[in-house]
This record gives sequence, structure tokens and C-alpha cells, in this order.
Amino acid sequence: MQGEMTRRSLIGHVLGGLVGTVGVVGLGVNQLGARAATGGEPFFAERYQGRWITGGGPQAQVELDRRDRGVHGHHGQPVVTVDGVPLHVMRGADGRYVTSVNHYQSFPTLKAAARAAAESLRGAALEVAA
Amino acid sequence: MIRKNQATLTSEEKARFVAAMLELKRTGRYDEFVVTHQEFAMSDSDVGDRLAHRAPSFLPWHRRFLLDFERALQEVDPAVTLPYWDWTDDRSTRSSLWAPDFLGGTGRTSDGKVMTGPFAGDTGKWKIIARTDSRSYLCRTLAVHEPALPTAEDVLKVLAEPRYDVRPWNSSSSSGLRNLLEGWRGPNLHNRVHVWVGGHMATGASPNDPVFWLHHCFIDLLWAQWQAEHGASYEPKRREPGVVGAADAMKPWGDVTPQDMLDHRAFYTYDVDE
Repeated sequence: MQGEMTRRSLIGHVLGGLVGTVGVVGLGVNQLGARAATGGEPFFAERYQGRWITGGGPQAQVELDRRDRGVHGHHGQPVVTVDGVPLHVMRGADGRYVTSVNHYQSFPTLKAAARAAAESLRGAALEVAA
Repeated sequence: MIRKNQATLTSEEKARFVAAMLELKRTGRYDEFVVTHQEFAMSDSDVGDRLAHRAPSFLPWHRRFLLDFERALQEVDPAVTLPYWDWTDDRSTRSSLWAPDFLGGTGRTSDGKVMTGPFAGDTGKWKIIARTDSRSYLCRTLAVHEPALPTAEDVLKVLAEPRYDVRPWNSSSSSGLRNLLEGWRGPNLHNRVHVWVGGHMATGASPNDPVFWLHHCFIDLLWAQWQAEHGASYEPKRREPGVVGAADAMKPWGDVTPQDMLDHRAFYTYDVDE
């Protein structure tokens, strides 16, 4: 597991990407609930059960630093992270979301999917999907 | 070759099943099955190619997946067959299924770690390799995220479906045996059991939990019971966008089609078969 400073730095990259996409540089974390100009689900970033969860989309484009994690979000794809690590998330035909952590349940919003993942993890760190 | 209800297994049958599982784990073959399942779980999409989940081939894909696994077990011990878990009957977290001489019990509250039985992390014989998070030990949260298993009445309702599957052949198909048995619509059978067990069973790497095989063996049995009533049909007959037709090869095998899998009696029987 990486140190606290590294983790914070990664979160900074994620939030930087989110803010850049919305086009409202300088927003604080608490203001990220605003609906993205491009549509889709409102961005969110919150502490939930001791975990830092963020997300947005499906039209968000969130670039994670490839040097840190080797992963980046694509345009048109929903993105969720838990403590800065991307969670594999898929949008179903009914608009609900399924993740690799809760593969047999669907959730109405990305935030609900992220919170469920945080609950299921019980403190464990997500592993980046291959 | 007869597949039996796990509740009827003798102590010796349970011990030999467990020993064969541990041997496949030791040699690394077990984790090949986990990885295969996880790869399909990640890529099966309602709007793209789908084979193992959210698709008409959910049932034949898993039938073949279980057959491959059962054959691997039998290379270790020819007397072993896959048992099934009838969760309409064995509904309690105190069932003998979860006893220390078989699959072990639920996980502890703090992190979900299974502490009893032959698959508990502390035995050192069941390390979780293919996974979605940092926990390297088997996890369960029985009855925590889902209070109740499906009932016999739920099963009867689903088995009354006249069609095998319907368009759009994904998780939004509003009727048909396949989607109601998979659980995205209707009373929720297969999906609900994964969530009821929790821990690794709730993830795309669900075969990490040995109960995966017993659960899917029962799903396979329910499909056979539906076929006995409604005929061994498969839909769609021909390939449609994202899904295979009855005579199309399924990945990862490449030479196995849904219609090859329609008659389970070509490979095994169930103790409840007529």
C-alpha cells in the first residue's frame, strides 16, 4: 500500500481531472456535486465509512495519472474511485450500475454503487483491474 | 455419474470433495477457473458481446464451465461429483453446509474473513489469488447484505415461464426463464444467492468461494427441471447482436455451442431426475 502523501497526490490528480472537465477550476471538494456541463450523473466526492469515494459520468472524462496507476477513464464511460483507485463499473441497459465488487446487484446511481463498494470492502484496498 | 444434494452427502463424500478442491488449489488449476470467470464477468455487457452473464448463453456457458471443473476434480479423485445446494431448503446460516467439516461458516464482522473450515485463510491452503481487493483470504457475510434466500414459491414462479429467453437478450429482458433465473427480473434467484453469501461470492471473482460450484449446480438443475416441463429449447436460434445463437461456438472453448449443452444427461444425472 502506498503512503498517505502518495495517495493524496493521486486524489489530487483525480479531482483535477474532474474539475477540468466541468470547466470550473477552483471549486472546492464540497462544491463538486454540481451537475457536469456535459450532462450525465453529477460528480461527487465524499468521505464515506472512512473511504474517499469519487465518481461521475457517464460523459465525464477523468484522467488518472498513468504513471501512478496505469489506468485512465475514457470519454463516455462512468468513473468511480475508492481512495483514488478506479473501480470497474458498467452501465446496464436499464441505466443502473454494476461494479466488480458487487457484480450481482445493480445500483441506481454511481454514488450508490461507490458507497456499496466501500461497505463491501470493509477497509480493504481495491486492486486495479488488469 | 450422479450429482447429489449436498445435504445427503456422507462424511466421507464431503471429505473427498474438500480434498479434491484443496488439491486443485495447490496445483494452481483452481485459480485458472476463477480467472476465466472474472474475465467474462468484467466484459459481459448489456450493450456489447456477452456470454457468461446477462445473455441467453448464461445457462449453457455455466453448464460447460461446471463440467470442466468437475472433470478437473475427477482427475484428482474419480469418485467426486459436484454436489448442489438447494437454498430453498437449506436456508439457514447454521446449515450443515457451513459446518467446519464442509465449507466452513460466515466471516468475522470486522473484515469478512472466514475463520472456520478447510477453506479458512488461516489454514494456509486457500489463498485468494484472483481478486478485486487486497484481502488474500476467503470472505463471507452470510445473510448480511441480503436477508433471505429465494423460496420454493419463487422458484416455481420462474419455472412457469413459457419462453427460454426474449429480446433484447440481456439483463432487461422482461420475461423468459433465463433472465428470471439469473435474477435481473422477477423474484431474483441466482443473483440474490450470490449477494446473500456476500464476500467473494458477491464479486466477479465469485468462484473463489467453493460454494459457487454448489450454487451453480442447483441453477443447472433448475434449468434441467424447466427443460423437462417446457422442452430443451434455446433462443435465439441464430446469432443476434452481442449474443450467440444455438449453433454458434462459445468462448473461451471455441468448439462448444449452446445446443451441445442442452441435454445434461449426456454428461451426468441429478439424484432427483425422473
